[in-house]
Amino acid sequence: MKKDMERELLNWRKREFRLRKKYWDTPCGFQGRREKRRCLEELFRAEKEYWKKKEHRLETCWEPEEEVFVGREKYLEQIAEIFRGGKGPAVLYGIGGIGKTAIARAYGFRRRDEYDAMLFLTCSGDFQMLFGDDERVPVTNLRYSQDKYGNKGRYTREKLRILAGIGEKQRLLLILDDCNMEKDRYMEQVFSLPCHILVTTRRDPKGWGGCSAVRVEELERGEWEPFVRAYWGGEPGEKEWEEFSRYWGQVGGHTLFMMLKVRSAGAGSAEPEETDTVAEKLFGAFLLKKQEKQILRELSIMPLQGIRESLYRRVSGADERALRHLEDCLLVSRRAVEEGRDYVLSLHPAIAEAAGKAFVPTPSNCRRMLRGFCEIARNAWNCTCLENQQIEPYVCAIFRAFPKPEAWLAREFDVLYAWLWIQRYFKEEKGDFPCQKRWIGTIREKWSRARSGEKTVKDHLIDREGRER
Amino acid sequence: MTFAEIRGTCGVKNGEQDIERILADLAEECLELGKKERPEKRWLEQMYDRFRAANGNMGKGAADALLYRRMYGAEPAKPSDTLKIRYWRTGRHLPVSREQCGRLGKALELSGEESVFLIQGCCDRCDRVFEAGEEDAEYRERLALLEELKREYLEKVHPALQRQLYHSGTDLSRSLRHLYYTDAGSYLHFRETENRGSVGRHISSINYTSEFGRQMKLYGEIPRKTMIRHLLIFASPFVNEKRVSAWLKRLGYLGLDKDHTQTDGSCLDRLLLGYLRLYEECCTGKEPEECRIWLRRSSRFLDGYLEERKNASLRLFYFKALKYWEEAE
Repeated sequence: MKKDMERELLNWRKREFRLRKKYWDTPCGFQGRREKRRCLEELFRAEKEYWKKKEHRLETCWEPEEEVFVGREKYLEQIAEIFRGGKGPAVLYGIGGIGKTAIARAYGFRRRDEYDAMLFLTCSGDFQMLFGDDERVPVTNLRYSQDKYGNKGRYTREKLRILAGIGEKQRLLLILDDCNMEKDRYMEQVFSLPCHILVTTRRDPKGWGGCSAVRVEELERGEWEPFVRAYWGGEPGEKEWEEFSRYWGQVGGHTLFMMLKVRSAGAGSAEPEETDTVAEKLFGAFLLKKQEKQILRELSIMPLQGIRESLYRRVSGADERALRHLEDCLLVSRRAVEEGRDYVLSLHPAIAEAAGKAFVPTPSNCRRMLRGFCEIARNAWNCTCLENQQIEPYVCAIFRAFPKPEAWLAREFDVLYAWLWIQRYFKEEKGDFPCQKRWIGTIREKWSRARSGEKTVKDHLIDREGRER
Repeated sequence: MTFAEIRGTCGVKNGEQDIERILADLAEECLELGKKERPEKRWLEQMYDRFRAANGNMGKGAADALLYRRMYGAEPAKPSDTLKIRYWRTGRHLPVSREQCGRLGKALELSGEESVFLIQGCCDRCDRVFEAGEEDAEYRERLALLEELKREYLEKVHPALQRQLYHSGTDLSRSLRHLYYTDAGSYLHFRETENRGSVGRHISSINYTSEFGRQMKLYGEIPRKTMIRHLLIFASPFVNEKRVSAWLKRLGYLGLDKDHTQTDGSCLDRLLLGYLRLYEECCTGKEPEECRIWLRRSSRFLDGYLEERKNASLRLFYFKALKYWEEAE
């Protein structure tokens, strides 16, 4: 068993204290009460410091805010019933855009007083990526270190064990949003955390086992009118009611589309053309400029949990007015973080999917953003692993979106590839990027032909790094 | 002069040299006194004279013969039979066994206290010897004291040092001998440059292994000097004159006495008392680690000084098994 040196040292000091007290009449015994008291106070302070360093707690929590939310009372009650009966996790499932996330957020907001801490995590990737990420799940006195933990799997298990400890001491609500994996090796461990777990997913969770599923359907008849009034911001006219009713029938009462429809009508946008694709229906309602389309294109390939506005504007040079317009159209979600010092931009999964189909992101049309990330990644050698982790989700998202990089952007991808190597992704046994492994082989082959073929790709990167320094 | 007195005249700057001077003077004093007649011998002479007076002021020869008769229940067969009694009386020799010592005490009609002094003072031995199977309440009491000191000794081992021991110090009792041996060595002059942050070489002497094991169980004859060494090593730096003396008494030895001499006449007690007093003067109020360092440094100086004077008897921390270590170095 690994020994805790600090703890042992503390115990040793306590033993020495006892001996000094016992042998008070020897030269190193306590010569008086004052000295003894001083020593005792030092010991107490040291012990307090020690426990403070060992303490694990969540560094940041989700602070839910009041959002427009109408109806869905039966779902909120079902979730509460599941938790009361200890039959959790509660899993909300249904098609994209039906309102699962909104229900989860509303539950968190309304029941916030029942919990000491809440975490809202958007699942992009598997649970190892999610819980192993110290940015998204930061725990005090716990950080990933290759030397200490080896691979991320071990660290993830340790972190889940510590979260379980936190869950036992605190009333914790864990919301896992958009959890669409079929199965995950950590699922059992995550679902057995001693806290309330609320999951939203687009797939039927019957394959998961050990959870209580709630299917989320469209809003009920009686809930539509308050819904429309809430998003319209008043009482629509008869003509609008007719239009909404017609559109409701057209999209099958789909919550997200209805919301966008009501908003776009309220914004006075032009009538959408009759089109076949959902994507065109979605965006056709808005008059989007080139810059706004570019923002949607770029954000569509970003992770679902979003990207900090300050970072996004740095890498993409996006215009603030364009962002505000998209926010007003409810196409882009903008959430304040760090007490309003920054914001997180994200797209609803349905919107992201639609934007991807409508505006088709490619390496070429996203080159500005790519180059922006490259500038940051280029400095990775001079940063700590934790600092580099800040762009980790975005680099991974870029590689996911563009598995086949274009040759004329090879230099930019080369930098991002080097960043992956710095972050030790190639030490992972199960790579998330099988395409990159093939690409590695291609690059290696090309470079081998160009050079003597003795050096590996890694050697080449090391050489280059040495030259640049 | 005490250190405090010297300090007042020479100033703190020369503190270390002053300590060395005091220790050197102390060693010289003990070496000189060691050449003189043992006080214990004078005491035995007094007992002998009292015996003669109680038996009609008989002559020394007759008194020797009477003592022999009382000791062995028979007449001396030849004149040389009473020779050993004469040698005991003159201090040339001492009774070879405690049985002989006990018989002599009885023959001299010594009181209980005087008999104990004969063993403890004159012969410089423990009042009792224990073996396996002979444990009684007194043995258990004495063993409990030794166990307590051993336990406290192991508790003082720094965690960083523990990790270098057998099984990373998970069971320190198994490393007692190793720790003791390296600690003892650190008090000797030839270990001056040893890195105190690491544990030294393990002892490989099989004889010492079994001897140490028996001593830790208080079995067999344990010389007083050896027991003093055990007490100092186990209890350091929480030692003073009063405590060491009390422990010796509880373990069946004579307490520290400045007039007591070992069987070869050397004034080990005087040296130790002076050393402990100086320790008290120099280190009172300091942290335990500072005290430990002082004890080791001053002991190393004293050990070197005595070795130069070719006196092994007063070298408190030196023992035979360490000699092999010295040779190996």
